[in-house]
Amino acid sequence: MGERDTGGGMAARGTGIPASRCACGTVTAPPAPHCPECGGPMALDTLPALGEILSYTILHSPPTGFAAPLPIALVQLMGGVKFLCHGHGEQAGRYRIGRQVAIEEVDGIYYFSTMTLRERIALFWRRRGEMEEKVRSILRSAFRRPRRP
Amino acid sequence: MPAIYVAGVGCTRFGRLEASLLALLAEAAQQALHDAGVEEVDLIVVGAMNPEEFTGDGTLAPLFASFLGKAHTPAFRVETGTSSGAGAFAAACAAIAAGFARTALVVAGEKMTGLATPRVAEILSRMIDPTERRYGATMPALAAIVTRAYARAHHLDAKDLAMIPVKNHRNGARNPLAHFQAEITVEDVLGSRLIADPLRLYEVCPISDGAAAAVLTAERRPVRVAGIGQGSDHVALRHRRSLTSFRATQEAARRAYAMAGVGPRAVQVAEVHDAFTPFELINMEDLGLAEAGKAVRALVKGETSLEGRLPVNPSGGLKARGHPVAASGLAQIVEIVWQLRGEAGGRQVREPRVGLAQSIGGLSSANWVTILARD
Repeated sequence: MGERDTGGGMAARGTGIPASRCACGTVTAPPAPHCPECGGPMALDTLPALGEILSYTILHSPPTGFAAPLPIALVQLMGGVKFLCHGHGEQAGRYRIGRQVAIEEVDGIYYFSTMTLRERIALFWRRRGEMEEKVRSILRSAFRRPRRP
Repeated sequence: MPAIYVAGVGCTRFGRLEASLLALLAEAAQQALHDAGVEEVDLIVVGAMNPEEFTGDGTLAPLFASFLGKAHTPAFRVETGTSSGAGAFAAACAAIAAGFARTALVVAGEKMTGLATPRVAEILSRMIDPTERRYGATMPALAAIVTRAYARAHHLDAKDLAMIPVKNHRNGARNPLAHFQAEITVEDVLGSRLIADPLRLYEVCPISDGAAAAVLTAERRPVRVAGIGQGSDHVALRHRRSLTSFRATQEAARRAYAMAGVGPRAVQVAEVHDAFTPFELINMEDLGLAEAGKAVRALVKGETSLEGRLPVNPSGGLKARGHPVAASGLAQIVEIVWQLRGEAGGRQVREPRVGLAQSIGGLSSANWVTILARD
């Protein structure tokens, strides 16, 4: 199964990453019973399995039970939630801050995959229902970099 | 807060040591008591992060009090992760301010080298959010994620960042208590192996043994505790508002400055938590010692070297002095006291009157800022 089908298919079907949402606006993934910001109750939600790399590391001295090199990234999901997940070692050369990634789950562990330009365009057209949010996300990622000091 | 003074300080050599945890704590404590000219205290506060697992010692405070021949002196332990030494110092100040004690002995230490490195890393990783730990996140891994975000936001390259351990090793070479007393070059840093990309071996503090101590009193002495503040934040990195600054330091600093009645401009020497050396720049910015993204300029211009306008980590920092975790927060305070008293030997900075120590607990979830002044 290709990464494009997995990531894009998930988003198109509206399935994705289990999360929780608080009345105060805070969203966390994975879900938490209490809001980490205000302590209020949280309701279960699902987020699209797509985001952009906020930052990452390739861990060369991983803890017992993990193989080196171990890519770990903090991904900003659509809607602004930060999510820690694993990468695929063979893609490490393609990791960049701001890079769009698709996220998939294998045995309860989430992995991000970088997407080529073609995959991102294909995904964009398949996700017509969420067009507005997607356009905003693309604009944000396009304009954020040049504005930085 | 009523006036509280540092009457005496002590610190063991840091490094891979033969002595037991209790012996290290006692060595630092006896130095501090002797320095203060005090034999009896009303209270003993012990800072230790995880003696249960590092050395198998439990109920450390009464165990240590008994070892020191003070079994009947009230004693308790404070733990705020890697900042436990600074937390113990604050607790002792609070006890004196509240009238529970008039003179207190604070002692903090850790004995870490008795275990193999992977086991030490595993114990330290308990400070990480369980979900993030499940993904193999270690302290260096999360620090690397922060470092990459910070470097990207402020256009820093590896050579800029490599100047921090070079400066701190240069200072450590002038500190007879430091774990590492040899100077290194930018090439050494950039040639060392990657631990967690982009962090290299020479940008990560060593695993060390050691202890530090201070005697606090309500009676007038030359060095005064001017301000103390704590700041806390989510343990989970994914819940943090910013990846390029630490809110826990910012809030600790705000409280400490407010108590001291001074601002960052008054600070003439600082010891900051450089367990991962790029954090030195983030810490300076969080403390208001530099504007966001500008700390690197002070570093490159030499302003933070021993001879500069604002020497940072004259002791060598956690990188070169070493990091016996709980000891570090108190060892920073001891260094500031020596600097204020003009007793820092070959690494003495020019007659400071106000100094600051900043200690990070976990990955900045329980941070302390302590400001000391020479009246």
